Amino acid sequence: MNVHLNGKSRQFDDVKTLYDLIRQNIKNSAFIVAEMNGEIIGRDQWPNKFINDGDKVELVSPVAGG
Amino acid sequence: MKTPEHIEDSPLIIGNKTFTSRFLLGTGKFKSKKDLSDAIKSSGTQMVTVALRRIDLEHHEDNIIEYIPKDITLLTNTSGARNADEAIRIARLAKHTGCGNWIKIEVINDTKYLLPDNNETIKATEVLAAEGFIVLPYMYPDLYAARALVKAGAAAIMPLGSCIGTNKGLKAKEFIQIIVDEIDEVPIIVDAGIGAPSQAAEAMEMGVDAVLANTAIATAGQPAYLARAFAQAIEAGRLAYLSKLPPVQKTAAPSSPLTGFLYDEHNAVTN
Repeated sequence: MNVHLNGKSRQFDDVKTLYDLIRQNIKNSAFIVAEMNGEIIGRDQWPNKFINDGDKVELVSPVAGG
Repeated sequence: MKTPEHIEDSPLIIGNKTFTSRFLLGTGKFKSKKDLSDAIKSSGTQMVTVALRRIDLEHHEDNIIEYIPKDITLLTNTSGARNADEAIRIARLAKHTGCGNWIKIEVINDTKYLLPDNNETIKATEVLAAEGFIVLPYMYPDLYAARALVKAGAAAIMPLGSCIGTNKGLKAKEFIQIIVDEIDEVPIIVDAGIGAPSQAAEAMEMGVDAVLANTAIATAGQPAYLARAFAQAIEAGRLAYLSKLPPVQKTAAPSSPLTGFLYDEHNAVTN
């Protein structure tokens, strides 16, 4: 399955939900926000949100800034 | 007798919070997380800014939030936004990170001077304030825009002192003063360009309610020292403002009594 994750097209074969995708790619998911196809997906919805081929996912977190 | 131990000052209230520190610290550009952490402690700040970025999946980085004490209010900026829609998108994302609903709106569509776009900032403020965000817009110091931001629901107005990261100080002083004199509804916070404690004190003496600084402190040889110096200058400037500074005079006025006995009355020189 091909997912457009954080601006890059990537191949994932054993990912079913957004939760799986985040767990596979991020060590610490505290303070992370997920956007899927332009829609913000609340943390409690990650396990129920199924990933489909071609989905566009953005994972964003706070960084230093002025 | 009023002494500095019994200062009669109204607290700084922004949105639903009361702050005893009038120093907001930006977290960008610090050489290390330790420098940032030390500067936060040394500054006594109660509000720091953070930004939002797409996570770099190839290079794991510690989360900035882990270095900020939990009792400090996080103010997420919308840096990178080029119009109101992008700022609104960033703010909504920020809310879901768990950093709270305090947003510094920063809409910039100019890479040379990094000047904020007041029109887009007003649009974003209106939408986000209606959604319940505590909105602190960074703006070019224009009275009409400041009034529009208040009407749009801003919790504070943040005019720039000078261009971001320049350390030039209060280049926009006269126009900030107009905003300070005319806008009573919300606090005025000078943001951007403040490069030295003396400049921060100058802003506070004018009646500005708080100062936000970042680059000067983050890039100093000893950030924690400068953070403390800023805190003291901001406090000194506030106290000077409360003292009701006397006006500047065109000509000299003696501060000692005229001697009298050196000259006869008819040829006395009044200096």
